[in-house]
Amino acid sequence: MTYGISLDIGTSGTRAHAVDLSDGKILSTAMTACHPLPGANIMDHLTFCINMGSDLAHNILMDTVNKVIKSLHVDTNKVERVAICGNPIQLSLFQGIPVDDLAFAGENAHEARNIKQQKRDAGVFNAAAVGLDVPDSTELLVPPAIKHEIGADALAMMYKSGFLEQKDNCLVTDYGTNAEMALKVGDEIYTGSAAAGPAMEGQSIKYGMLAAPGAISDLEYDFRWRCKVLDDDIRAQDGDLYDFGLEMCMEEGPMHGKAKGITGTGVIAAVSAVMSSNLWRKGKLKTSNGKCVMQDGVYVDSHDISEACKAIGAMRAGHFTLLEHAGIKFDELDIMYMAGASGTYVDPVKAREIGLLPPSCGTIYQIGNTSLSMATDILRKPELLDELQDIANQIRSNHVMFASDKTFEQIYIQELAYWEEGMTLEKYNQNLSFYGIQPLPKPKGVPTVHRIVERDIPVLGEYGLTILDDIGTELVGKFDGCTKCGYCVDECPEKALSQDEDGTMRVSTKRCLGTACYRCQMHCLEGVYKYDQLKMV
Amino acid sequence: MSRFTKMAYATSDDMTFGRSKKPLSYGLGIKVGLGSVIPEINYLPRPGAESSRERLVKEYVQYITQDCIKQAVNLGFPNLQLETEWIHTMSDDLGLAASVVSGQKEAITNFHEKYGINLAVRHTVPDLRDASYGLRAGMDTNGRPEKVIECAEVACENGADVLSIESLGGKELSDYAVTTGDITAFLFGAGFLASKDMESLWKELSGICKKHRVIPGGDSNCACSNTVMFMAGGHLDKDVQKTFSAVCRCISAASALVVFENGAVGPGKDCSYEGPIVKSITGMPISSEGKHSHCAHIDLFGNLTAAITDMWSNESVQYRHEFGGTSVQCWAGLIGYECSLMNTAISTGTEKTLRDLYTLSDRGRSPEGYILSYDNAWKIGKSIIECGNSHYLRARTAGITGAKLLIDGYNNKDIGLSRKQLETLYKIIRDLESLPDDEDVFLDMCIRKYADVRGFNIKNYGI
Amino acid sequence: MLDTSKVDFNSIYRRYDIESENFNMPESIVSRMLPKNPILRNIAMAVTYVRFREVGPAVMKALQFKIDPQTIVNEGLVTGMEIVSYLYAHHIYYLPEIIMASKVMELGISIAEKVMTEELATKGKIVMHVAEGDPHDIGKNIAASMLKSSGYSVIDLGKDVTPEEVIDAVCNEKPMMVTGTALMTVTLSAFPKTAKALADRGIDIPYMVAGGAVNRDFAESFDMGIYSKKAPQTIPIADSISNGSSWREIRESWDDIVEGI
Repeated sequence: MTYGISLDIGTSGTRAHAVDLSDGKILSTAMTACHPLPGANIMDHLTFCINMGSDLAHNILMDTVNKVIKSLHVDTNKVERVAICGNPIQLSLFQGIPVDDLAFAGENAHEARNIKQQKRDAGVFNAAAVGLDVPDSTELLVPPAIKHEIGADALAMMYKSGFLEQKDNCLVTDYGTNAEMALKVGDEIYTGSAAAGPAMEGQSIKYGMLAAPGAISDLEYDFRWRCKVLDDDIRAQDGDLYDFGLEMCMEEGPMHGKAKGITGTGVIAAVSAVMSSNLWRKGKLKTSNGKCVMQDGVYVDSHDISEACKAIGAMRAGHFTLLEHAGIKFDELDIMYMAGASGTYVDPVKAREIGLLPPSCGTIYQIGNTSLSMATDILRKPELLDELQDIANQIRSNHVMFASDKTFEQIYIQELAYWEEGMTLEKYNQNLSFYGIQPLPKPKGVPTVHRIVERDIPVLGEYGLTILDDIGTELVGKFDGCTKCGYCVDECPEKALSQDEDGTMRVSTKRCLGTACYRCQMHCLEGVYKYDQLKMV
Repeated sequence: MSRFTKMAYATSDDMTFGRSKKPLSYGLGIKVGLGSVIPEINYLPRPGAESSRERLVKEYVQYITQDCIKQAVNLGFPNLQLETEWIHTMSDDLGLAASVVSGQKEAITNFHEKYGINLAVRHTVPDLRDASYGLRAGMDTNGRPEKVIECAEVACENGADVLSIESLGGKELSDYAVTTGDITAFLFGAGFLASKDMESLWKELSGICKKHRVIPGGDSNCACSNTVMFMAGGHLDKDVQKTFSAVCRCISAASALVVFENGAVGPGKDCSYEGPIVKSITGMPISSEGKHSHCAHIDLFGNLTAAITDMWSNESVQYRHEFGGTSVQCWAGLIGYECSLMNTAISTGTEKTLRDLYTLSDRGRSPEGYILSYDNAWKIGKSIIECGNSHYLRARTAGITGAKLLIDGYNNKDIGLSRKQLETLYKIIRDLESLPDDEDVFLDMCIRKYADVRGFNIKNYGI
Repeated sequence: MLDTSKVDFNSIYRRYDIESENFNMPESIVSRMLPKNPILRNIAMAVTYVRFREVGPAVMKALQFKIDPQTIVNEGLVTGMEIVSYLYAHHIYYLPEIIMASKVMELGISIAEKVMTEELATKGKIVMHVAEGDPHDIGKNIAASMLKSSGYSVIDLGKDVTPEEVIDAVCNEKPMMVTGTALMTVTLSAFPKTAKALADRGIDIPYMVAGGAVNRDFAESFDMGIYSKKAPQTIPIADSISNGSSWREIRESWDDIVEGI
């Protein structure tokens, strides 16, 4: 028997299948709960690359990927093919391609650094040569990127959703830290990528956690709000009934006492509940203690809601901008495909109500993790790469860079004022009319939801799912002049830093916030600690 | 099937105004049953305002809504709820209704933003159904039952905060009962059939409410027991015995309860005078009217109904100009000040004193006031929940308990009764006690006995 | 005896009269602050009410009546903008209105400037840029609008700006403050280097750094660096500099300066 491995390298974790190549059947699944590189988003990963060197970043990632492959319960000596998918930055890190063309934007920066635009087309490479622990003859199949931030993962969401065959106007979005989105109008496709931040994944939220037992994953309206808590089988069960306006628990549910945190979809539900209870005013929660308390002491506060609102604002402005570029009105858009784990598990009615998808969308498809699913398709049928390259070539023309787009800026400023300053939708639309931008309607009616998959990864295989919690990569270093005062260790907000007896500093890479933080270095009393001199063991 | 089998309050003395066991928050900052009584203003547009769409929307939104809220702000009321009881022009033209609902929502939003006053609007959709044509979906070729649901959808979709209805189930029997003095017919109509009707109606209405995140407020057996109360009238009116109307009220309480067993969460409808009995069982907030309904009808328990209420309301007052402003401003002022008094009592810990003053003022003024006195209301409630599942037995027991409480009260010189009133009670007890204990036997008997009552069709009730 | 000590009056009544006295109606604020001269008044109103089409004719009219262009700017356009800032500070106006109104004001200034003999007097000059390699300039654009609307003159170098361009601009323009924005952490390292280069040329002005990639620790980790968390904070910080504060003094009193914003 020969095996294939499909991989989805995401910003918040890696997912993999082992596949029996004789019949294409999925045998097993493995995933990590986070990315091994320091930091929480693409930008942190890029900075790590630039400051610490691409080789180190590549080695850390390969170390994790190899651990993932080992936990798939198949003989790695019999692996014949590996197929990957992910955003261009992750794929470049994986392949060891320079990322500076993605890290810097603007001609000045590129000229000053003599940066060359990398080609990220489809191709077949040697898997062992990039550092995978597989036989030397193993092929590595890489699908093409479309452009810059719009990579193979964006192609996957278009290809796997039915978006490309859809005759009517339609929109697809992969709900993640970086939300890839594409709008199709006739034969034209408009793409963009909105920096939504990690709130959608339940990160940077005080009680945020991944979907695991004890996570509040949803709030159901029952004239108050019923907490839905995940049980040991990750199924949502009834928890306590809360009235956020009265700030009271009205009734205890079967899951009382079992809640530990809240998932990204739970945060979306909390935003919806807070808005519908009229408790959000000028960027603050109106409750007596500034918190929205759920069961067992789990709560979201103004900061959490505000983080989520920023994500929603970025997504809504992104979708809106694509519509404006395509020159269509909201009521000309009915079909929406929601991809990614958050896109699959979130309640689409609540999501639409708060702005995560256009208010006009009345036909919604929840389609799961399309990245892993496309990688698996490529594994089964390597010729698919050519077809995907053709599609990618056609899509290149209509990419909207939100960061430098005037329409996006005009809409995003309205979003800021709407969420943070309490500006009304009426005013929002009045201001937009000033720029000749169409008004944003309110959601009407109840959309039809087609949940295409039960889980974001629909088939786990006969050997089941393995979750790798401990990726265990460390950066280590010893500094002359260090007095072992321990101040840096105390300053680390993530408890990622420790010091051995002999003065060796150890940084757990998956916990470390990376270059967005650098508190350890900045707080070194002797000025000798240098983060970029740390080495991988 | 969900049934209340326990009293929300262990003793009647635990019940006060402004507090309920299951408080609610909704609308723009409204908190009901959590320590303050909230005024709920009721109104009707001027005749002729319905002559054009624009005029009616303007009447409701610009005139009535704004006048009410401005008066509340002028007088320093912290809270105000508005209740729009839909007129037929609105159900005939749902586009118009949508404009009224969304216009009112916009108005309360603006006032809330500007002054911080807590506001909400209750929309009470009309029950357009006609028993002669069919009460259930698919029965009426004119589509009236479907239209009622459509009205509820339009109200919820366009910004209602609370949804209510005054349903008509059992009315054909109740009308017959009041003209013939037949308590069994009333029990069958307002007790049994109304329960069946409310059960199916409220399952559907509460589902619509849930979908649109609107509070399913509740219903009122207005069509049956308020008609009897209205006909019993004041001390000079002799058409219907006041003890008959008192027992009818008890029977209605059993069916009013069904609403809260099928999705409604309160605040109950203001004209549901059986509210105190319902609250003693459910612990859910209620709205009541009393002395401030005289613009619409006579009321012999004008203070008493305030004793354990959570919202204080008037009866629909027609919009017109008075010396002191418009009629809605005057009535908003009256009910708002009543709430201020009650809230001062709560705030000073003297709410039980005021509750008892309200009660004593009217407890002996009429038989119906006597059974609605909170101590008696609680006893009637208790007799209902001890009857188990049968809608019939619950209603019958409520009637018998009410009648016996009145006789005991008469014997103890707690309430005076005329000879005729007393005789009526004895007859009622005889009639009710002679009825079969089995629901099916009762049902068979009534179907045969009342077959010729105009509009009566057992298919209307899914039986 | 009447005992009021234990009564919670909040549930009984609310003093909207007292509350509304503290709450000024926008119309009355505007009419109080508008200039008395009807020609200047029209100019100010065009800015306050964001009337793009009216500002040009209003300024032309003032010029026709031989009103000094400096006066047109300071007493007409700037006054209009001061009203907008006041309304924003009192939560009556929102961010988008500040930005739109400042564009109206700029339009007016550009007309008046054509006939101006001397340079426009401002509260101070500020050079702004987004780091080389970074395309995200929304935050900087918001801050620039707010600074202009508060009476500062802004030299906006745009986005993807090289350190050399920044150094040249600062040497030529001699601003009271230079600002740099970065949303991407990779582009951050340019700021300390630019600050160092400026110091080498004997320039010692506050170097405000801001944007998603920047935190206060970073901002204060190099000489001249000061921090701004969000655009509205930029104004009180600029005011403090305009009143003579050095970057060291700003760092020390930073929390007090931006309190509540």
